[in-house]
Amino acid sequence: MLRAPATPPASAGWCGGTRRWATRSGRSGDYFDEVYDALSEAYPAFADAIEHVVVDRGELTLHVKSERILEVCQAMRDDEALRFELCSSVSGVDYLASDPRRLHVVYQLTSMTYRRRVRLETAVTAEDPRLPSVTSVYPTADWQEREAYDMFGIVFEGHPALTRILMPDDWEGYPQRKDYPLGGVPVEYKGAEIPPPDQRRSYQ
Amino acid sequence: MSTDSYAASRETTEGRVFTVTGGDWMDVLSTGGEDPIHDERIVVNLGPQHPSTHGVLRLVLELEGETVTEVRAVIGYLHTGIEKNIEFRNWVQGSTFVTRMDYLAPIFNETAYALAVERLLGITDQITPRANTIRVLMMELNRIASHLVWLGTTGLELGAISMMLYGFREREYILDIFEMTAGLRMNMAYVRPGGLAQDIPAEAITKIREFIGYFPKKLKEYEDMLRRPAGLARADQGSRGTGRDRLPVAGRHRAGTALRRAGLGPAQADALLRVRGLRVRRTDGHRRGRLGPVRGADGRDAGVAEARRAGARPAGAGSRDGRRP
Repeated sequence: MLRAPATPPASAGWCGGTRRWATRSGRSGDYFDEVYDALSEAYPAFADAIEHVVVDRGELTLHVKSERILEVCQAMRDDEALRFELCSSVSGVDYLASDPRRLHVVYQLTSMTYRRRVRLETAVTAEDPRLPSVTSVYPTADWQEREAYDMFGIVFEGHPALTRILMPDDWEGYPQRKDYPLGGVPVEYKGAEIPPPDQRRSYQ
Repeated sequence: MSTDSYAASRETTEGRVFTVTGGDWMDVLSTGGEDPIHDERIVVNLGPQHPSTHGVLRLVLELEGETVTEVRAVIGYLHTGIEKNIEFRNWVQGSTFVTRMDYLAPIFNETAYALAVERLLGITDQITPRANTIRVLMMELNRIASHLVWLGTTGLELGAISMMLYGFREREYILDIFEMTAGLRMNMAYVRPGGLAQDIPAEAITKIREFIGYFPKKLKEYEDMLRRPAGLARADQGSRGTGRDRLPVAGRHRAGTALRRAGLGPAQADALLRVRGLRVRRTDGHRRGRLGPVRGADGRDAGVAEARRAGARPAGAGSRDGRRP
C-alpha cells in the first residue's frame, strides 16, 4: 500500500518537479486497484474506453479502444491520483492470425510521483491501422511512434512529422509485420552450404 | 555602421572599412555595406562519415550564418533488424543478438533479455542466487567499463588525450576479467535465459579483487587531472554564465551545484561527478567473497571455497567500515 495522501501536495505537479512517496511493502500489484479506480473516476468515458484489464506476472495492462488512447493518456498524466508523467516506450506488436485486429500498440507508462508502472495496449486492423498520436501528451512518443509506423505501418494521426525513422525513406513494406519475410541468401563456407535463417531447421 | 557581424563595417581615419565573410566584396560595396547573402539559409549534411559522428549518425542541418536553426537527425545507420532475426530463432539464440545491441553494455542487454525470457517462462524463482550474483557482478564491471569509454572519448574530443589513454587502459583490465569469465572481451553472450553460459573461474575472482584495490587509485588520478585548469576547463569556456546547465538529475544536480560553486564549469563538474559514480564500495558480503552456492550435484558451497582459494579474509577482518575512501 502507498502512503499517498488523498490529494497530493501542490508541489507534485507533472512539470514543476515531482515528489515520491515510498512504498510500505515492496510487493508489486498493491496499487493496481487504486489505479483502476482512479482512472474510472478521472475519466468519464471509462466504461466505453477500457475493453478489458489484464494482470499477469505482476504487471497491469489496460486494453484501451484505439480511438480513445489520447484521452486516456491525458487523464493518466494529469489526474492527481494517477500522475503517469513518463511514457518510456511506444511499441508495435503484430498478432498475425491470432487477433483480427492484429496490430497492437503498447504504451509503457511510469508514475514518478507514486512509483507505479502501467501498460496501455490498443489494437487496430491492418486494413485501417489508424489511431490518435499521443505526442501532444507525451512528447517522448514522437520518435517511438515514428518507429512503430516505420516497422508496422501504424498511422498515428496528429503526429507532427510521421516519417520513417530507421529504414530509408523510399523503403517499401513494414519489416516487423509477421508476414514480412526475413530474407537472406544461402552462404557457402568450406564447401558446405548454409541456408538463410528462415529456411534452417526449426527448433520446435 | 552595420550591425551585421558577418558584414561589419566601421569608420576609420582612412575611410570606411568592411569585414566581409562568405560573400563577394564587390557585392558588399555595391549594396552599400550590406552582405547580400547574410540571410541566406544553407543546408549542411553532417555525417554519417563525419569523424565526430562515429559513422552512425547523420544530421541534416539548416544554418543561418553559424547558427543552426533546424536539424533533422537520421539515426537508422546502426539498425540491424535484431527483432526480426529473433523471430526466426529460439530463445537461447537470442542472447547472441542482444549482446550486440550495445557494444559498450553487452551484459546489460543480455541480462534484460534473460530476465524477460525467464519471466515469460515462469522460471524466475529457479535461477540460482549464485547466477544472479554473478550477473550483478558482471553488470557492475560492465558499467564501469562503459563509463570509462565515455570518460576517455569525451576527453579525447575535448583535447584531453591522456584521459583517453587512462580510460582505455583501465577498461582493458575489465575486459581481461570478461575474457577470463566468458572467453570473450565483448559480445560475450554470457548471461543466458536460465542462468549463465558457465561458472566464473577462481582466477577471475582474484582479478576482480585486484581491480577493486587498484581502481580507486586511478579514479584519484582522473579527478586530479580533470580538476586541473588545463583539463576540461577549456570546454567550459563559452558555456559558463550562458545559463546552459546539466540535466537536473536528482542528486547529481545538487552535487553539481556545489561543484559549480567551487568554481568549476559544467563539463568539468559533470565529469567529476561521473568519476565519483565509479567509486567502488566494499560491502561485508563482498569482503567475505560470497557468491552463493553453486547448485551442484554434491551440494557443496563452492562460492565460499572459491573465495578461500582466492585468498579472501574471513568476515570481520580488514578495514573496519569495509569501505574504500
